[in-house]
Amino acid sequence: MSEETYDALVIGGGIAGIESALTLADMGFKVLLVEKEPSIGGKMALLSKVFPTLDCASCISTPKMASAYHHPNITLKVYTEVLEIYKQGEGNFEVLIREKPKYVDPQACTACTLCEKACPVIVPDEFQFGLRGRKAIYIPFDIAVPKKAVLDIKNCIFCGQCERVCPTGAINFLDEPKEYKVKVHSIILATGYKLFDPLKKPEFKFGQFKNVITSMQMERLLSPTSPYEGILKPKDGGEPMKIAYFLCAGSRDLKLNYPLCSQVCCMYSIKQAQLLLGALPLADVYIFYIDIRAFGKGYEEFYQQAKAMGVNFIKGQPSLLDEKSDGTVVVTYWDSNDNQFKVDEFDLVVLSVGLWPNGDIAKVFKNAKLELDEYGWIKRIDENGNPVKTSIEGVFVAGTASGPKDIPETIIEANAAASQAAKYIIKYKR
Amino acid sequence: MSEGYEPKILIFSTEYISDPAIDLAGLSHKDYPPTTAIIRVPCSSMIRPDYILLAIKKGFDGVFIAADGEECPFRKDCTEVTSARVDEAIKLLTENGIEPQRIKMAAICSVCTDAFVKALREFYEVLKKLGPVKRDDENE
Amino acid sequence: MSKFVERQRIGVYVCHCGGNISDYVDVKEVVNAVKDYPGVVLAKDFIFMCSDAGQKMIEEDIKKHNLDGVVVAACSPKLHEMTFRNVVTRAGLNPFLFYHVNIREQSSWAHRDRKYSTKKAISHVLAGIEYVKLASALEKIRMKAEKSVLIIGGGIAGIRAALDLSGMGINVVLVEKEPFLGGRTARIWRTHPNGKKGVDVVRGLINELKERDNVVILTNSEVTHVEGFVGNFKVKVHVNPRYVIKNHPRMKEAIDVCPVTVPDEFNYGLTTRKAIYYPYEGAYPELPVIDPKACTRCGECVKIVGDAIDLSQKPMDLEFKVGAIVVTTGFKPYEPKPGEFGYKEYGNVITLPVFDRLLDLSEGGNKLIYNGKEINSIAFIYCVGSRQIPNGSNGKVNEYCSRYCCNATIYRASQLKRKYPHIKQYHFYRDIRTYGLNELLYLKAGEEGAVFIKYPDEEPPKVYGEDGKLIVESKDVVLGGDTVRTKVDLVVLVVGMEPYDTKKISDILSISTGKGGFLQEAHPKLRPVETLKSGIYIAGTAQAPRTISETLISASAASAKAASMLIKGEIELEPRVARVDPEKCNLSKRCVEVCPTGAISFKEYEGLGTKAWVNEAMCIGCGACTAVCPTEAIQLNTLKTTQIKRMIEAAIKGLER
Ligand SMILES: Cc1cc2nc3c(=O)[nH]c(=O)nc-3n(C[C@H](O)[C@H](O)[C@H](O)COP(=O)(O)OP(=O)(O)OC[C@H]3O[C@@H](n4cnc5c(N)ncnc54)[C@H](O)[C@@H]3O)c2cc1C
Ligand SMILES: Cc1cc2nc3c(=O)[nH]c(=O)nc-3n(C[C@H](O)[C@H](O)[C@H](O)COP(=O)(O)OP(=O)(O)OC[C@H]3O[C@@H](n4cnc5c(N)ncnc54)[C@H](O)[C@@H]3O)c2cc1C
Ligand code: SF4
Ligand code: SF4
Ligand code: SF4
Repeated sequence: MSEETYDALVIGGGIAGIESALTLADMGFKVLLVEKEPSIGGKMALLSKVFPTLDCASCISTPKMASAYHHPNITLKVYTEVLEIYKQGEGNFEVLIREKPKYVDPQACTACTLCEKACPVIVPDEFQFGLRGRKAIYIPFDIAVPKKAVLDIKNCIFCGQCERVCPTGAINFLDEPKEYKVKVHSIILATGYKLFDPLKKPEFKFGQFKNVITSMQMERLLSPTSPYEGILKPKDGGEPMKIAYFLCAGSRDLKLNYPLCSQVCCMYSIKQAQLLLGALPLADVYIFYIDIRAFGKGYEEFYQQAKAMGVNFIKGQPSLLDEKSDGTVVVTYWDSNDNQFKVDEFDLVVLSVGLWPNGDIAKVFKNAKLELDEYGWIKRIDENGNPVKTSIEGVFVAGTASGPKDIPETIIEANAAASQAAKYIIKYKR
Repeated sequence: MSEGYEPKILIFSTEYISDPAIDLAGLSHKDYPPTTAIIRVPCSSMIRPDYILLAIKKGFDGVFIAADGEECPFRKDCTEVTSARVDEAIKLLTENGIEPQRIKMAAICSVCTDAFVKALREFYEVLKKLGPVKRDDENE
Repeated sequence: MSKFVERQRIGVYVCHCGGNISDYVDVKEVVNAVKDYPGVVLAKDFIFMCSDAGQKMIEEDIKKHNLDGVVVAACSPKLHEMTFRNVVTRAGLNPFLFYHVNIREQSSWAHRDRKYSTKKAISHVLAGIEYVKLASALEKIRMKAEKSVLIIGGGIAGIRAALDLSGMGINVVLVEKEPFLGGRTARIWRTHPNGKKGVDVVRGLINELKERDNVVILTNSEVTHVEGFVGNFKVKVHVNPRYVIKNHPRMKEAIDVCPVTVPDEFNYGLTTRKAIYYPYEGAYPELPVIDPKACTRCGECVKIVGDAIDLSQKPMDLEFKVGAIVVTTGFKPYEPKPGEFGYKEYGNVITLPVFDRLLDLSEGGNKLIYNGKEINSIAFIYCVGSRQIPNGSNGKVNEYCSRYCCNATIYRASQLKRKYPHIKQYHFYRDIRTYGLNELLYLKAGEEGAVFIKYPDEEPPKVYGEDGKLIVESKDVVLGGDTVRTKVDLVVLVVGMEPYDTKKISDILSISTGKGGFLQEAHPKLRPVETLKSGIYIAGTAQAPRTISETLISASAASAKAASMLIKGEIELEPRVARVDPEKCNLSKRCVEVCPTGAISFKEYEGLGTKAWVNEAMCIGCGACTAVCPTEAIQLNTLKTTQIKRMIEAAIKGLER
């Protein structure tokens, strides 16, 4: 079989990868878009509303996800990994791809969810950040693209229930991985970020105190596709009346050896605070911060708006003391206004977790070195000249793969990467 | 004139400018009279005077033109041109025995939600005072 | 004209938007209200109509039920009109037989009373159905497009865009108002985060630009007029004389003999220059310029270089045709008001840009001298001209954060420490916004001993003189509001960015500016580098405060968008144009009077004589003509007068239910 050739390979199907792929495809280039999860959309597809305009995240991501899926110039491979990349001169990369077995024929699956209902196995749902379970055979999330079931073979007990109920006979337990090579003229890395794992810092008591949750969990609670009905305290299912945000959780933290700022958590916390005041009009929201970094277009105004709405901003880093029997969390903090330590109680504590690097992709470059910065972000080698260039000519970076950023910046950078890739393709394509 | 009289308003919005503002008013849950229907047009300069007469004859109590104003992406003289149409409409309404206060034009920029809500509420109150339209084909 | 047949097989789709709509609009009720409406063959509701499953459903219904029209009632058309048009197209139906009804922003989100929002939704849907009944199938208008782009502003944003577009095979005209390229970046001492000098950042880009043979660079020039439309803009550029017309081996001498000396604006008057000058070593174009305001026409320079200088050179007006325009007109630093933090009151209160020039000019020595005195201590006051709090009496203020300044200042703190370790630094800030990876700069400055004092938002520091020194007095939030007084030799006001004359350029281009006066994007996430005017893009600090790398990235992004429009040499335009039914036209000519683009003229129609005619490429589809035609002969393709009338009649039915 002769190898397929594409003008560009885009790795990562978050909003950055989608946008890069769409822009290149609109220019007439043939694009291969590879996503390791069963759906594209990345983190953005799972957010509630987005700052500073407060339009809903899915409203912006779903049309883009759908057009990437349908675009005649884009070949989309989900549940697929890139194993190896060899650079064979400028404009010429050989890529080894592996499609993971889905055990469901995507052509046949109609997303009827009957298999989900039939499956007896329940495991934590990674797309709901543990707020809810999912089955061993599952459709990733409500607005998934493509919306097809996949079978998670690791957790499957081979009871055969799904096979029995599937109306289209889509289930195939004998599915196998497919490995093949493709040739591409250029590469865009849009592999995004990893969420900081609060278990890395036991002081956060995450997993110990039930009413300590992460901001990503709060995004799910606030989203129209929330796993629960409304905003609830995990401990007893009641409505929280007093909520605290701990900013810089897993960022600007020398103890964790991670001094970087995550750039979006101040803003998304302010956003969540505003949304919470809308959803729970009687609730009080306290935001503990080191600096409020509201620096983008319209962001400072958004911050001032939150203040005017009555969100309480307290400069200082709090620590968790205790959990009461009803789940209330006792917090102590230095109140710089009164120059003294204070102790207060909250129904819910939200950790504004940071964005951590996802440099895993560096490994797949076999005969060229993809440089990362000292913390693991993909390094921009020409920051003040051509910022989307990486250490490998012909390989460009888009979105949060090169450092934390918000969605507008991610989308802009995705287009910048597309323009550099286009130039490179035109120069070297034969 | 009954206590529960709720005037019905036809709103003409413009695709790029006032329609986004009305969207934003909804997005930020700013309260404005719900007995309204919105028809979007590219530019307020395209509103024919006879649309307004028709609307009132058919049952609306007033017509609100959320005009482009200075932000109009089509033409700088948008306000002028739209006003000329409104003047014609006022004449038309008067000829047909309808109070000219039933038409209201206000320039609403693409983020001017407060201006929109305020203007619409005021208009609503004006219409409420005027009471229902006296239509020939209706017998009280 | 062929007889028009109304659509009779319309499908109506009502979206829940996952509760966003269905919580406040009874979607089932909406479906019930319209399912038996004349012309409607099916009506359905669904959780997310825009999801893949929702799109599929519509696609399949169109095929299966042979629908000839589709109404989707969902969120704002700004979000999904295109999505559904594409769905309809995929199913083989003309996309203009679709109407997008807004029942979220304009109904469920707007009104908390379910009864009313449901009525309003029904009213909108009924109007949408009437629209579709009378809609015509339309094809996009295909036009040849100029494969060239005009870039306005030759700072780093403009240069980056020129490099990217020319590299994609698109011709570029780069227009810069000043005599040299590079904009504000060239004046930066050392740029964060890597310490590259501002002039080197510019030079790096210029060196690449010199290799391009498809870029026309016009300096000392301004765009005076733009007309036309995407793919076919006609632009006029006024080129002011440079007076120096070619290079000469003795050019340096010519500069030296010039007897006129004036303050050098490049260095904010810290130095002087001649009437014939280069702003800095290696400035581009590599030809000096003569400043006509300073030049006395003494002719000394001409004596040396002869015909390389032409003091009688005249301005030129050029015309170009381009397919798209990228606006990169940049920013200007905020100019504090006299008395603001002692500015203009005390000699040693300066702004950050001036301080940067001072540092650059002091590169040689190991002492920092200003106004003849050595500087041993500096206070930086942040957020000057940014994040201003309106209080009713201070007029129009800059409420936004200028974004670059914390980063830039803190980087200077470290650089200053390296070069002048003895200088004490005090940083009076509100929040330190060294976001993202820039946090390392802050960490370093702190470790090196710079002192940071957080002043309260509402109570900025006071600056006053005492015994020949400056005192900065401020509350320190971190110390519980205690007052600190510091005595310093120099106060540097960390000034924000303001848009540079965007009023003028936005008028010429008919694009809009947002709050704060920066150029406004069509949508911050969906279309972040486009304007509402098709074919006009924005980038760099003309759009919002940005650092160098952010500026460059946005310029590359704008290039990508412009290129994807023009790269095929052909563009598609929406068929929203006016058309004349010559049989109805009674030559009132009122349409001609109101058309803003002069698109309407008269031509011979066979058998009908002279009647009005619309040039579709020039028509921008405002529809003003349709409002004045006494016979309704002129109609907007996408919104006919009959459609509006029927929509009005339908809308009231919904409200009166
Ligand atoms: C709680 C929270 C709230 C937020 N709220 C906002 C907000 O309101 N507004 C805003 O502007 N920003 C917000 N953000 C930031 C926003 O999430 C990011 O800016 C944006 O999602 C970045 O998109 P991305 O495509 O760069 O990365 P990602 O969304 O991380 O996407 C990367 C994609 O690449 C895939 N991938 C990774 N590695 C590989 C590989 N090796 N092979 C194949 N595929 C791979 C991943 O599976 C993923 O789909 C928020 C962030 C958080 C954590
Ligand atoms: C004191 C100071 C220090 C800074 N330090 C740093 C730093 O260390 N690191 C960093 O990343 N950033 C720094 N910045 C920010 C940096 O200067 C900007 O990001 C960058 O200059 C923006 O480039 P630009 O092309 O958008 O705008 P500009 O540099 O302003 O260029 C715009 C150009 O357009 C031209 N122009 C304007 N109007 C017209 C018109 N009508 N017709 C034709 N031409 C026109 C102007 O003459 C100018 O040449 C600093 C800024 C300041 C003020
Ligand atoms: S039962 Fe079959 S068709 Fe239905 S979702 Fe599962 S795999 Fe898909
Ligand atoms: S963005 Fe704000 S919360 Fe996040 S790490 Fe930076 S300073 Fe902390
Ligand atoms: S629609 Fe507007 S631009 Fe087009 S012909 Fe009519 S008046 Fe002119």
